[in-house]
Amino acid sequence: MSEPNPQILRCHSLGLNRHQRQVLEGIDCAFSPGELTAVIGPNGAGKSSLLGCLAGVLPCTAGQVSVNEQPGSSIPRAEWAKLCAFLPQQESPAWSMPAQDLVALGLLPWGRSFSRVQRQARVRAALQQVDAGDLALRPVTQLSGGEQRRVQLARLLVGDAPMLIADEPGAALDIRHQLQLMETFRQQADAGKIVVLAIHDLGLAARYCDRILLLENGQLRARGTPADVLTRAQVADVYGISSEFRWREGRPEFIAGDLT
Amino acid sequence: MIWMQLKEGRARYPNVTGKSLSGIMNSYREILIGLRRLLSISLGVLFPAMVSTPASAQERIASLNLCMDQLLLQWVAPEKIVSVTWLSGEKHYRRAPLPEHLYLNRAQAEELLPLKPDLVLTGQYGAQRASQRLEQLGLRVIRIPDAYNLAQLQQQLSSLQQALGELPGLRQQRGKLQALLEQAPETSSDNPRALILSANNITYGDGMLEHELLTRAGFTNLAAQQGVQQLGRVSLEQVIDSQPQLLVFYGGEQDFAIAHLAERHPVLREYIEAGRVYRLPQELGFCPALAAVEVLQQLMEKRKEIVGQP
Amino acid sequence: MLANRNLILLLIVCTLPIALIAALSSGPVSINLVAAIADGWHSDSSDAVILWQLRLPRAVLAIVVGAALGLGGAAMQGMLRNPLAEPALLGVSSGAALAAILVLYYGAAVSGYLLPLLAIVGALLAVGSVWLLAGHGASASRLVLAGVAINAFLSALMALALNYAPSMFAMQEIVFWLLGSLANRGWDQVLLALPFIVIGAIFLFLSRNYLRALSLGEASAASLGFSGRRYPLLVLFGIAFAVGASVAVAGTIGFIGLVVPHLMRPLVGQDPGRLLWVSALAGALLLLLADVLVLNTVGAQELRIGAVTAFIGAPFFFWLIVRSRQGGNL
Repeated sequence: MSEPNPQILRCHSLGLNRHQRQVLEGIDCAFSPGELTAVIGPNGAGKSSLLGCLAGVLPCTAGQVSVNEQPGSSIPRAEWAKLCAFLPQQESPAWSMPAQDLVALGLLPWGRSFSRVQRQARVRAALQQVDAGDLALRPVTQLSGGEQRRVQLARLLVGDAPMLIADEPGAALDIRHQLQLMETFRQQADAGKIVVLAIHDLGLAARYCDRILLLENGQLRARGTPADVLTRAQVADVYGISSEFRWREGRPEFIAGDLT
Repeated sequence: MIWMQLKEGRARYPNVTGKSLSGIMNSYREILIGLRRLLSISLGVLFPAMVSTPASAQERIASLNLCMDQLLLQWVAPEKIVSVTWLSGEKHYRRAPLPEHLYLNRAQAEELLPLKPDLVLTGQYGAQRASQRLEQLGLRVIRIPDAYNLAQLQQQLSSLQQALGELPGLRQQRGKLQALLEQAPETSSDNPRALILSANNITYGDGMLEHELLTRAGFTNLAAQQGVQQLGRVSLEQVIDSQPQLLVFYGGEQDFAIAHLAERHPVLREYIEAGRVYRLPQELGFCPALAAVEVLQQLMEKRKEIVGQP
Repeated sequence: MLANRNLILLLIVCTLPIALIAALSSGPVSINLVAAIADGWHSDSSDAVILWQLRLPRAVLAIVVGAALGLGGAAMQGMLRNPLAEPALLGVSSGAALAAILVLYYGAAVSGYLLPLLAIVGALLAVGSVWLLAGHGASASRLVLAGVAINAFLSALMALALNYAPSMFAMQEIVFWLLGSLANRGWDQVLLALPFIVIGAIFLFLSRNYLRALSLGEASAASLGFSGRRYPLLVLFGIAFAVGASVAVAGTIGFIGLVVPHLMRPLVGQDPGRLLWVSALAGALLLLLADVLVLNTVGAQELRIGAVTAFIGAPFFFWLIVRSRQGGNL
């Protein structure tokens, strides 16, 4: 990709007010290339709002998002779209286009800078990346929920943007495809991208992510490595469940217990 | 060429109750036949009444018919009129200023009773219920027949004269009409061709007053020549194709309506620029007595212009 | 499959000139078409005048208005992400017609470009209300309900405006404004509508990628660089220019904007961007064919062209609803 790799994506005391409700308040955080970050928190904690602000889809009402210390608002939208790919929580295609055409929409920010052949090659590669190569010609509305989600993930990846932001990308996927998905994001991060995911499955978050942001009621409750954030006390306090975080064969493992 | 016959015409005589008269066009011929019979009967009935009450005695005249309104306003002193229809108050139909004391009725018997008219004029159609009611209540109601052709127009004027007595304006109008009609129509094979293009692409054929006026003035009405009886429809293509020497529009040039779109079409610009157009006044449609004489004179002059051209 | 689609598109392109010839040879007067063409524009022969001044402008107007309506329908469906959207059905045409009625019947001097301009403003207000009331991914039922409400209200205002119009003919002409007509139209009307329809088409051309992105949803479209008010406004103006200018000269002709994008969508692989142009082409063809039908139907009155399109479109609309009830996606 010819785009300059963003060194750092940062939130400065980010706040968001929606429908007279403070959805986000005073969020300060930073995301570095090569890092896979999970945003976790109970329903309504503000995960989707934070991701929307990061992706530039929601205009924040306080603070700002910056890339390399340049305010996000000063970057033209068309340029921003090349920097940052975003997959919202719900994305239902309006028209029953073939899967490959939907994936090609991810290349819209680049306009005509790719040739037709290049575009086709990228689309094919992206579909294969999410194990959906065989779905290329199927109309999207005829796909199952999981298949559709994979095609949408291919849309996210097809532009090879240096920042990937996805809101619950694993929802509706079976366990095999969830693991595959996390592997894909891990690879993307290892390739030097900033990857931010909102995730409900704390086990997957603990296992694949470098860092975790824990949100509660629109505020940043904790941030750090999975081991720092997913402590027994913190999880019990925020989610109201017992849990255990341990290392097994050199890999972090999070196990949810009972309601407390 | 197919000249479409129009089954249903627009109400030519707006009447007080607002009831559509379109059906009347259908039974036009029957009416024509029946009319003479009716006239002879009604005149027989009316005439004795005329004798018993001298015209000069009428001091409070009311009208339930737009055309009667207009004729009264034109020929009778305003202080002798007590009521005309509301339509006469409308901008479309008003020709002369309306005296302020007049009551504008909507053809309800209740409206007219308190005015104590000594003569109520009504047309042949419309406001029938009100006029019957007023008759039952002892008021003097006279029905003046409508006019759909020149003969009927003369009869209308004469029965109006019988009802109202000698009026200078009315007598003069009758005289003029008589004089114009006595001039033998110039019938020659090279009569200039004329075609009426009215609102909504309607044209007037055989049996219509407008046709009679055209032929009396020495024109060949192309619509009638093509076999149109009464009302027909003519498209712009047919206008261009039949190449009339005079294109006759009908009424309402100032207010916009889709109905007038045809006459605004650029293809007719040549006619208008060359002065080969004539516009029949709107009054001719709802009250020929007002306009027929004038129209006939103007058409005759127009013919001279056209024939005079090499 | 792909070859088949292109074949159908080619067929539509080829049918258009044939339909044009059919339209030019239809009319109450039989003319010698070849001689009239040979006579040329400036000829005074009545055949040539009928061809160049009466039939050609009418056919061109059918093409232009049909294209604008097809385009407007495709854009509206794309913008609202809803296949039931249609300018006439949702009151956009009524908004334009109401404005046109006010200008024409009340505006003392009918002053040229004021007519399409105000019709465009009317269309813009209506399409804006639809967008605000039911936009942002509303369900089909909510969209249709909002549209029906707006349409009914505007139609009532049209009737009211015509009722008090100075012309005696005004009240009867509600039929024209509700069903449209191409009768008695000349080059003046073509020139009145064409520039604005072209501007609308340019607006929609500029927003084609937005419509494509929007097929994913509003958030995704925003993330693909189509955020802010600029793009929705571009589409709204594009629809208003195309539909408003058409309605100003031809009245409300319904269902073209519904049927055409539907039939064309499979031919362009459901791409909302390409759909715009194909719908314009097919809309032009459909309206021209409808007008050929009107011209060849003998009757005391000319058949209303909106009645012809509704005759095709209404059952189609019904079929769409039935299919959506059966669980098929619209």
